[in-house]
Amino acid sequence: MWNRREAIMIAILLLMLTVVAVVPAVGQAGDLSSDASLDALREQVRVLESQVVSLEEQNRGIANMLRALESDDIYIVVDTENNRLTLRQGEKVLLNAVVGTGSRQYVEEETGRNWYFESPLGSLSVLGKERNPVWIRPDWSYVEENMPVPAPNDPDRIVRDVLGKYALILGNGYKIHGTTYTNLLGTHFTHGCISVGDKDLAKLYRTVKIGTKVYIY
Amino acid sequence: MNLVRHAVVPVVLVVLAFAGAVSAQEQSEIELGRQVRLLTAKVRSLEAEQQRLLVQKTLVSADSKYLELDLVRGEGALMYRTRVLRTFRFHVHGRFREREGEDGILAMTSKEEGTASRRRLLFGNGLLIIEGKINRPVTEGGTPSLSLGKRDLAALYYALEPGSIALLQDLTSEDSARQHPGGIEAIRTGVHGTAASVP
Repeated sequence: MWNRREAIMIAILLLMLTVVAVVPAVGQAGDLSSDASLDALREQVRVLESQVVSLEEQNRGIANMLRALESDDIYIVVDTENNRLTLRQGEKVLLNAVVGTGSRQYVEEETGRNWYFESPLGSLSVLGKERNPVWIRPDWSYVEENMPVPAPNDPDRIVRDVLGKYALILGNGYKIHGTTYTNLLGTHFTHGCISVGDKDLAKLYRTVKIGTKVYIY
Repeated sequence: MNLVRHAVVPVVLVVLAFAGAVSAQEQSEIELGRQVRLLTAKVRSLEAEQQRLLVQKTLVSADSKYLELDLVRGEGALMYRTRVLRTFRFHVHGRFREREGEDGILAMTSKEEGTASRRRLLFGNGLLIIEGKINRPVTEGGTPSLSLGKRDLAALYYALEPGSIALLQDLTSEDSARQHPGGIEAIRTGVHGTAASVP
């Protein structure tokens, strides 16, 4: 026979046995499915990890392609609403200038010809560089002043020393050039060209090359 | 009797050890379930990132200007292809719902005329850009808004047209970084960094 101590110990052990026997019994039906569900979960993890690796690689490829399109070239940006010109190189701003842009005014001649003076918007390029540019007066400049319009090759059309020391040619008659109306810089006063102060113009002329992009918005 | 006494205890100990093994199985299920959840969120985040990259790829070859808006830093840029035309700062008012406007990609629906202080750019119900001051938040009908300085708004107002795209940065990536910081290894080992450390 067991002594009292042994009997108590056996009783406690039997009680614990009962408890742990019930838990597996209750979950017995789930035991088999637990193995299956673990396998299913492991498979899910495997598939998801594979997707993550694939997506990361694809995204890296696209990001690298986008980075390759970036360039460190200098370019000019003209904000016609605020009359500001910025010379940029990547994320660096090399020059911030107050300029004059198109007046957005409308002029009409008696004959029916009319002109709207706005700076050209969009993506342009510097097509040429000039020193001591000469202004060939266009017809509208006579119409504006109610003067008779001379012949196209009239020498009276040639005016010097009104466009500053330098000019950057943008095409279609538009230029970035100097001005004698420096008090109007920061306003919409030109007939479409971008007017720049002397000091800023000198830096622009020294820095940009033919082919430099100009973005005007 | 000694044999019974000596047999009962080892048998009970074996049964108790088995009970411990069942608990380990549950632990595995819990851990795998956690990994599935984190990896699913990671996949969603990467798909959203890919969507944005593909939109950027389209924008850099298109002849149109677009906005990049960093909602966390409050910094934006008017872009043309890969070129920065203008940078600006702004204040965010209201709350951007996750997944609003196709994972942070919004198209401008209209711009409203008016005096400088009344001009606004609308991106559907996803975003309103308006002139404003930091101490005077602007929200309309629950639409989150960005308030900018006068000159910045003037520039954007003139530069953008209906259809122009705004890319909202750090909208989904910040939310998903909170949900699943780290890469696959971190998810497996259960080691989490802070949102700031997520590459």
